[in-house]
Amino acid sequence: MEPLENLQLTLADLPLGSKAEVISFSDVPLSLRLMQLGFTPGTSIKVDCEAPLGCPVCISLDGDYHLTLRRSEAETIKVKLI
Amino acid sequence: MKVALLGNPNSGKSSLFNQLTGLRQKIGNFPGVTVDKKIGFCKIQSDFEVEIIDFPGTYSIYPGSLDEQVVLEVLANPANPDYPDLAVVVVDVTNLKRNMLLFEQVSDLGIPCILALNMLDSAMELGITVNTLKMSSLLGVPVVEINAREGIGLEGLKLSIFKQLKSPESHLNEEILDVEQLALSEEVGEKFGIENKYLAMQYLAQSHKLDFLGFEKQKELQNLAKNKGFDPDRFQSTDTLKRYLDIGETLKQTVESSAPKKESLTDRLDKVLLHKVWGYVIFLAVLFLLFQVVFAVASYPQDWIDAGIGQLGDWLKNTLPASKLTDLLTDGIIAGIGGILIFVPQIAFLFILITLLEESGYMSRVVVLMDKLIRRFGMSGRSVVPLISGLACAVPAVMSARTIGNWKDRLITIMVTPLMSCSARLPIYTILIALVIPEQRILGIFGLQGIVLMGLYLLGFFSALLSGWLMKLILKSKERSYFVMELPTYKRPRWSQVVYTVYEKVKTFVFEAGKVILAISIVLWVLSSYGPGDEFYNAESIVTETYPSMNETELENQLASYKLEHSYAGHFGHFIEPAIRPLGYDWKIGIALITSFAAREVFVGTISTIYSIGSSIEDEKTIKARMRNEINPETGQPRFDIATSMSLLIFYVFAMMCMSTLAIVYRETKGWKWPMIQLVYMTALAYFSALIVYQLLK
Repeated sequence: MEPLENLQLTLADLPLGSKAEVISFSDVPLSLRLMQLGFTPGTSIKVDCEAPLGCPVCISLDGDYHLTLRRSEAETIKVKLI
Repeated sequence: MKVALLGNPNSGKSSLFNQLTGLRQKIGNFPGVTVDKKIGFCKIQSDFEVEIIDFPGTYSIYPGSLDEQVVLEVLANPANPDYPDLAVVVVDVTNLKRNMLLFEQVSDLGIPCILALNMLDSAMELGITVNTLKMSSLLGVPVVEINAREGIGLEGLKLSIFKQLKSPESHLNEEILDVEQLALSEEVGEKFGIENKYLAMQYLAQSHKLDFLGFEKQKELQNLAKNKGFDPDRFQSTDTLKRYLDIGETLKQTVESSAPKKESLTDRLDKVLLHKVWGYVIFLAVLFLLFQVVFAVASYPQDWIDAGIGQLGDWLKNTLPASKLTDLLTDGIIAGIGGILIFVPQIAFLFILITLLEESGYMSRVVVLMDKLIRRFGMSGRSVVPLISGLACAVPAVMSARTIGNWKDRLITIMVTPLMSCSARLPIYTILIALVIPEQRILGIFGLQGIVLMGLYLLGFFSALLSGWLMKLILKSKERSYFVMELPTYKRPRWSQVVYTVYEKVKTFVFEAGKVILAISIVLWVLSSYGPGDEFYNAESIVTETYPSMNETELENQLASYKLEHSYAGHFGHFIEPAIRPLGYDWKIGIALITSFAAREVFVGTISTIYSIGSSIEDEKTIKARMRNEINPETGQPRFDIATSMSLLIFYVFAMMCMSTLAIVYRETKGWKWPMIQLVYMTALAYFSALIVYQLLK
């Protein structure tokens, strides 16, 4: 059986339009880049849209601030729905 | 005194730079690297002028790309000639939390700072208000409100710069380093003579990026980090998080944001522009429009230039006494200059449109739209920017591939970008298309010539994709890369920015490429006006003897073409003719191929020089007319018929004929291996494709 940790909801699982809060990252080098971009644990995010083939995903943070990332990158970000 | 402008990408830093310096700016390079450095001067008091340096936009002092690395290399090295006395950190108020990170880090490096709050108008629309005075007293440094786009608040900023330079104040965050790290920073500080503790820690955390230290010192720092169990990733992570805590505290006391905003303009536009279907339809429409404008609108000023140069040449020929020098001026220099100026309208239009796409924020949406599609071809969505910039010029395009973090993605992008049809190919396309494609309209509005032109561009694009796919199969790499990036909000393009960019590019083209074109035109004139052996020097008596019944004009024409054939240039052309005959070219086109090897834009200039030497005065008015009247002696048909012209067009779509691009690829890949591979594969592609086209069409 997989450890419980791996069953955690990630950003990649969220349906379009849903809102969530970032909990933690599972990829250290990527997390450093994300944090520079203001994407820290506790940040609330909203999934705006995805490119026609399902990737990349576009999300928005507080303010008029939009980021885009690939689905594989979204999978390393653990979130909880709010 | 040096003042650095620092800030996140899209924070309005460049607008502020333009506002502060006006036209008094120049573009240079940071020492040792080829990142553009913009320098300007600004009078901040009637008798006090400072030097302003615009740095590349960066999110923090931990660089993620080569451009960003310049910021670290300068700020971490007080001995660097560009090390500033003061930094103005421009922040976008709509996103203060993220923007303040860089401010805190730069302050902690011991550089006096001013915080310039920009985009307050957009923030107001989002319901964000800032208590500037309180923020200034909390941070301990001047905080000024500006509107970089409109140029509001500049006087206040200048006053603050003046005061900060006279009596510097700085903001230090003492909580970043823990006890253990403080001890470590002191050790590094003593060894390397650095007083600033945060800077000492940066030496330890990012030694591999600080090239100015030299290999020995970098090695020493790496060993020290290893021995002390120092983890750079961990340090960066806690550094960033602690700063966000501090920033959060400051913002809590100074920023008020009211009730939930309504959907912003960017949200609404993205719904359409990133739509599953409409997104692509709009993207294709934008591209289509781009080519129609470049071809249709630019043709008017081009016709004027073409006619003007023709008239100038005629006038000079009739006014000046007939001599070798007059010939050099009219057939060599004027024809050469004509070959340069005729590009200007198209280059200007292309750069205007590409700059508009970047300025408005649409280019990043194209990256999103294309990422998944283009990934199959060994590249990333970020390769779209180099590929589209490649339409203007491969040199800046290859350089812009630096934003791609992954080496393999970046290499493939660099290798295939020159296949995108750059503006230097445009004149060749334009002239040959105008010669053989009728000026028809399809559906009443779309010019057939414009459609053929677009076809050539698409051919370049698809061959770039195909080459990328092949290289993806050959190259192996396990390196990881990140795609995550900011999607800037949509903005009204700043015309001043567009004008600056276009002015810079056109100027660079006219002077840099122009120098080469002019030099080659003159060399070419010499090569075609002199020749080896008796045949050239006794041309007159030989021709007169061969054609005794001809009248004077006919004789003159015969003489001119006989001379050209036996000149040095003619010999070169004849020498390569066997190799290019299967492609449908004669020795005259051969000469143009040879000269355009250094820079393909020389082709049209060469053709015009060659034909102005070989044709009679009445027909000399325009390059186009000269080419149209050229007859293939074997068939009696026009030289530039559909088969030869298409073959030439295809040849120039693929051929790697640009020294500057090879030089830049050498610099970017740090060796001759990749540029040489590029030269060979593109030349082979060009030769065999042109061969096939000619054999099919003839």
